[in-house]
Amino acid sequence: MPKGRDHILGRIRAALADRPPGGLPEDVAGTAVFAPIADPLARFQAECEANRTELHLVTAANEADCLTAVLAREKEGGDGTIYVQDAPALRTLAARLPAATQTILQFAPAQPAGIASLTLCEALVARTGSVLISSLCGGRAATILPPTHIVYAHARQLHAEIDAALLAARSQSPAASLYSLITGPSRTSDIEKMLVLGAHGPKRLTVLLRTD
Amino acid sequence: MSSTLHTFEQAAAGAAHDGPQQETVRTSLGTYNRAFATGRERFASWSEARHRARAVKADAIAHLGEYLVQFEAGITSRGGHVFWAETAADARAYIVDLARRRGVRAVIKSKSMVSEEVHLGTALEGAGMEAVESDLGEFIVQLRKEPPYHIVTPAMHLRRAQIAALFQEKLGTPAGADSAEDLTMAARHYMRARFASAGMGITGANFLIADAGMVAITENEGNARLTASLPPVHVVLTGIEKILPRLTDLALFWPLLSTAGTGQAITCYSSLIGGPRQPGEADGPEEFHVVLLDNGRTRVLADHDRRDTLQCIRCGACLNVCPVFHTIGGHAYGTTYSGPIGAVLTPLLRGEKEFGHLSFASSLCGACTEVCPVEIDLHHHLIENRHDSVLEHVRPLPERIGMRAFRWMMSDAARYARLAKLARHLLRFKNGWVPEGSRLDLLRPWTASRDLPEPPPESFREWWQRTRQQRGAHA
Repeated sequence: MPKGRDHILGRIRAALADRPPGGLPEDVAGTAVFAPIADPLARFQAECEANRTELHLVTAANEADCLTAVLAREKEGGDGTIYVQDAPALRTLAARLPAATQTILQFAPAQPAGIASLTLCEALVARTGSVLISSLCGGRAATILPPTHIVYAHARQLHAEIDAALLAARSQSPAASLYSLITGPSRTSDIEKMLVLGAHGPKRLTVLLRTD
Repeated sequence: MSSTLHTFEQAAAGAAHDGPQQETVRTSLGTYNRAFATGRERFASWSEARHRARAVKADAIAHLGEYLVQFEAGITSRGGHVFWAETAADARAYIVDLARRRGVRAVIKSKSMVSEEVHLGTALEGAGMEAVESDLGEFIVQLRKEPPYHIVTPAMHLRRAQIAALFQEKLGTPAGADSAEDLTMAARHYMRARFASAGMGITGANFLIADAGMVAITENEGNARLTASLPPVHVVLTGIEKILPRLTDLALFWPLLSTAGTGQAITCYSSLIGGPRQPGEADGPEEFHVVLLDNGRTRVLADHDRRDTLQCIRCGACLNVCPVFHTIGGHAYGTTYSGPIGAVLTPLLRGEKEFGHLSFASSLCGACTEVCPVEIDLHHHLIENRHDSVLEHVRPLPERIGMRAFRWMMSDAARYARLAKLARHLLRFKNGWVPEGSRLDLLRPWTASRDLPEPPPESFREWWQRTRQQRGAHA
């Protein structure tokens, strides 16, 4: 096995004996490439609308009501469990939901039969209206397997650009084995370029964003 | 004539006359072109973005060895394995052995052109394992036992009705369920069970991030995420040239790839994966393997003038703008990578002798070079490849004789004048007697499908000579 490694690296070394000069541009995606964003929250809202993320701006006062309504709609789609990431912030929030809603919540990794998942995220990106999650947000399946993924986030987590969000996630959760920048619900246009939501992943992506 | 050339000519002629399929492909490419034009406007400067992307990829390729070692260290630090495959056979053997060792019976695959390149599906099936493609487009062409038509949109050539009939036959979907939504949901439903039962998931990679030691995967459907999440073993099969130096480079490359590939601002799932399930994580695979494939890439690397072809990020934009691809489609090439990038890369990776003819399947209009998001000088590489073909004597004998005769004629002004006059008269005489393009026409290989304008009775040179006196008088 190490033979292949030595051979390939040896061939690379030999091939690049005439390596050209030059280095990396420092500021890869700076303002020369992308126009600066004046109001990240407004941009995030606009991008979410464009990519069909359902965004609810909430405060401490109305977040429980908002989540109750969101979960009630998922329940209408059929019986089943809503898997919740086992995190203190979500336990606190769940405790404020009506008792009937609490009975369908389960603080466990998502299973195939679940009707939705509720997780935190690592960061938000204004430029693309995206949610950056990691495998520490309830596991890998929680953010891709259920038909609806609900994210509970705070405006503090909002970054204008992708690189800042990635660096924030890496410093918060350096041990995570997976990060995923999610932009809207799963989709495909493989059949005659017609857009269909919910190809293999969630059909609905809902973000509750605390702004206070 | 090599057999690949013969097959190519037959397939290209067939595709060029398949009106309905061309219509489907053109509609699809029309949609792409509109989305791409809108997508570019999201950049303050698309040309600046291409410029920087080229600089980053050129650096990545220039320090390929160092970056690959750095990438490997990141993967192994999380308990992942990295296998360096010199050839397609090495890659197949490693993955099939791993699957056997794990007792795998079913494999779920997510779109990977490198797995097409090494014919991994065939190898797995040969070893008695079921290998199902989970990307909708890939799944459709797999059911039809066809290779992908396009590196980004595998089922671009198929109409909805054809796919509906296919699903009815193979999956037993009801006859009326023929909307894009119905068909997508049928595939979703079919695939869910397979994700859950697969013993191994195989994906490709769009980028290998050196400083993070992670694999970046770009997709819209979520099938790659599921492939990397549910089965107990995750294998990434990818080429060594996919390296990017820094995590932060993705702030440019994710939007760049999405825009050039589909016109999207960014694809739905842009993921980074660096290992198996870590301590404290709720789920994820027990084993994680990255197979780094050479298979001719280091040979391209050693070619100073063509090294930049390894910058390719497989966005498919050059296919989408190519008039030849528009006419003959993706299957006629008979190669994993089609279109301009395929015509440049395939002879380099697999030899001029068998694939040199692809460099001639181009009008050299330069649309590919103009669109390439990493500024690969594609159409000039096609000319260089043609040059190689000529030097290696792999061109057909009549062409070689013809070119030699042409050189002889052009090397003497008087000779050129005499012979051109003779040719003009012969051509006018022929056109008077033989219907153009008919079987009696000696120039039929050209005139069967192209015009040959009738030459004027007098050449420019003759006209110049004749009218010289008059002009002199006026001056």
